[in-house]
Amino acid sequence: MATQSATVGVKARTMTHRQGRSAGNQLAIHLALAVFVVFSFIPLILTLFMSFRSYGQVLVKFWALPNPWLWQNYVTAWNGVGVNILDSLGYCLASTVFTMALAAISGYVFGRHKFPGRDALFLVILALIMIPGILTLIPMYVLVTNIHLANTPLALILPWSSGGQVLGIFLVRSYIAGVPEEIFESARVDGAKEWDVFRYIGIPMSWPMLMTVGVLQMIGTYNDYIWPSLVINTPNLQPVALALWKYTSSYTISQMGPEFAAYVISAVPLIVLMAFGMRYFIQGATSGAIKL
Amino acid sequence: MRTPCLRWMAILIGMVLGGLVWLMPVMARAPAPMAVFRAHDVIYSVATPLSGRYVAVGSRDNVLSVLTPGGKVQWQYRAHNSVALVAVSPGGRYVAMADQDNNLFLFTRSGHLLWRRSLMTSPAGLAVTHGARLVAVTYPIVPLLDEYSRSGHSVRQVNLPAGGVSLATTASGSLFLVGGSNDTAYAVTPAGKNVWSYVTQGLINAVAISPHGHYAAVGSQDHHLSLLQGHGKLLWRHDFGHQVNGVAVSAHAREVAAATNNSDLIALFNQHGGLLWQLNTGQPNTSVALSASGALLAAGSQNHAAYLVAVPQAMAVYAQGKLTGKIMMAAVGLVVLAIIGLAWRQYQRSSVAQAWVGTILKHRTSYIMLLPTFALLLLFNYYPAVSGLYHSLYRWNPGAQSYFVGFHNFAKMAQDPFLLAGIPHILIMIFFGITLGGIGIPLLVAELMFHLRSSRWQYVYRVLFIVPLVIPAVAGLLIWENIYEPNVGLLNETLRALGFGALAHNWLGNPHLALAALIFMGFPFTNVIAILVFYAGLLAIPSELIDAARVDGAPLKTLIRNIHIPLLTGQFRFVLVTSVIGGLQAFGVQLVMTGGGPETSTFVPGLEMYYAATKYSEMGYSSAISVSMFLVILVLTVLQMKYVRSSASD
Repeated sequence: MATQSATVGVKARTMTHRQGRSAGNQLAIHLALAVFVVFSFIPLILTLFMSFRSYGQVLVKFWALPNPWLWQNYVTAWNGVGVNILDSLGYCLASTVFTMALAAISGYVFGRHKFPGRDALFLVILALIMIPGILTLIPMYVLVTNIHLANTPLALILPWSSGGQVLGIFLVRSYIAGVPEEIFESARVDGAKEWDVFRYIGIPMSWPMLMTVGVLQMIGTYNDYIWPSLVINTPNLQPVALALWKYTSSYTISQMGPEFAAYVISAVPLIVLMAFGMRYFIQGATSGAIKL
Repeated sequence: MRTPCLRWMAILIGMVLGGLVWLMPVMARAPAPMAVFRAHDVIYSVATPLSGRYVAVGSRDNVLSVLTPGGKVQWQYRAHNSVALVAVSPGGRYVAMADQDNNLFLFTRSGHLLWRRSLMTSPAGLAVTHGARLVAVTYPIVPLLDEYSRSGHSVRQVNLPAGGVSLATTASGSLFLVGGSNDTAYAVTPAGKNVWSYVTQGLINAVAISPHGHYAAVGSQDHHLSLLQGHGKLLWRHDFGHQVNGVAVSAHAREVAAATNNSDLIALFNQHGGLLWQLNTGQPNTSVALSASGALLAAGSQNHAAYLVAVPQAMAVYAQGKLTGKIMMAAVGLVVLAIIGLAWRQYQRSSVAQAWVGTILKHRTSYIMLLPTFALLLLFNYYPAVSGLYHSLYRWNPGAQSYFVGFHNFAKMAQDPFLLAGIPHILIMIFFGITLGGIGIPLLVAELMFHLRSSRWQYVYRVLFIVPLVIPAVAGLLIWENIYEPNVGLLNETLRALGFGALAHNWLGNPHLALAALIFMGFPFTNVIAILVFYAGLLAIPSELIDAARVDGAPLKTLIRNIHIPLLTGQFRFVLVTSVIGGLQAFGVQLVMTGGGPETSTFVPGLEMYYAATKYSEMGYSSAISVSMFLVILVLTVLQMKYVRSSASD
């Protein structure tokens, strides 16, 4: 605390350009960052090359380019996990839309409405922070089995949405609470129904935050394999994250080419998502909305 | 002030409550569907004829006991050593037993000793065919099926492919089922012709065959009860998570019973593997028998007791338990209705209440809009949490009867070698998770990016560090599994290429290296979320502060130490809290890559919780583990909140 107040005491001056950064320093920084980038890309590069090779090729000469390039690996991989990628897209999109809708409605109500018991009800949601996922995992598995949802898409979509909406409600609530009341009031004065106020003002106003909620939910659900491993046994219904695990463990090392090709194919939806939603992802990450 | 209406309501509630109090002991007084015979020592073996008219019990206290289905002793025979095996003829006229002095005995139904002869070695399997035409014995090591006649003469000795650890016969005696010591069950004719065989994955403990020979059951040390059809085709298997010591089948395998180790269960299944009934005896169970109709189940346990269960009545009691639940529900519903009625009466009189309801109605849109959120949260978040807390005190058998066991599940945790091994592992994982991937490298990278002059390059690096996220998490793990592969993995190939081939290892297969390999997997630990958090934190520092320090000639070191680090306190706390709370629960990596092995070298508590539920069906124990972790996390969360408040009030 003492050091902080000492530095705050330094007289502030406005400077347009940060100084003290020589070209040599800059080069060193670039080099250091490049080293990190290269190392973090190794698994990706390895995956790309291996996806075109066969076990035989790798066994004969590990350090070589694919020869020949085995595009067939991708056909094999698609036949193995293609249906699961489509499954995943269906589950994750449904859950994402559902979560966004719930977050939009409840976030809006908590952020803009005044009604008896609002704070108490919000506390009920807030208290969920105290309940770790590990406590509910197995009882939820029993519940979903008991109500005969196991091996149906709802076994994934409903629990994912229920859990995902919590963060969304927090984000949307604080976001929309900052919008000036006049905008909503003018609509009400014009005689708009409450539902219309939500639809034509509430949703557009919270749209950037809703997109963040959606991108985070999409990434989170696409990557989940623990919960699906409990409730989806039917191979053709398994989301791709679970299917990749089962796919790899059901073959021996000799199938490594198609396995790597499957990893590449399964990355495509995330590549598309990141291409369009990168800035929402960054926004979510910097606002501390993603767990490490 | 009381009106007649109010009084009637009170009377109704009183009647319902009183009715419940009256009903409960009535239900508790339902006749016990089970007789218990207590020996002085462990029960080794039980047998019953097709009719189920009596039960023969062999125990370690050297006694052969023949009991009525009600548990009364009809006669006993005292041998000179423990009675290891008993068998009865299908029709019930003969009882055979073998003791641990290697003697074989044959009695009549009424206890008259017909003959006794000594065997070459200690027998492991004993079966009697109809009318005791054949009394057959197998041995654990000697690969012979020894057949004796009713008069006690050796009829023939048949060679088997392996020793027989268990033996069963059909009613006619046309087929013997031998549980071989080589993990294979053989169906052989009395002449020794092998009709079919079935290979299990673990040592066989017990075999049974239905009276007509159409079905067979095998209990094995790989924790499975397997039901086979006709020619050795597997119909279904049930995984008990512990050894299966005894099996039995009724006619046409309409009922299949198993006695199991450790999980202490005697379980009864229907033909399709659906659980009908089960009993928790508190000690490993050794043996089980069924009558042909499946109406009588006899089981022996290491707790010195033999259980004689009237199956239809036992199942009725189980159904009655469910009925009790329904009656309770109805009663609770009535009480709730009455309370609502009372409230309605009160409401009509009170203007305050009316005003309150008016307000609620005025704001009904808000409540209706929140309805979907709360419906989902109650069902999928709050209910499972409460259910987990509640059932951690139970031997929880979803779909069947559960038993209150107090803190037994929690006490069991202190003896669970997998769980105990997991605690230091998770602490190590969290420590390195924070120092490397949580704070160390991300802070360094964020500082490097922050000190780049070009904001375009800052953006480029940010994107580059995000790119690896497009690989699905599970694929990332599988790729690293391949990198660690001993023969063609990137790591060993690189070591060999650099001339360090001697350092090449089976990284995930070596108990001394596996945990380190899992920690190193994040290499180079450029955790992009943490990078973005720190980077945003740096950007949020007022530039006047930094520029002022620079003008005053503060070197970079001072700048970072005195301005960056103190002003990033919030970010540090966020990373610390999420790493610890998330890290304690994590087991996904171990689940995919090592399964906790080799040995227990990579086990973590979450994995033991997952396996307890999925592999061993110990839902209550699994819940106890998760409740314990919840409590640890709760304490940490409360501490953290307190810490935040105290630092905020500075």
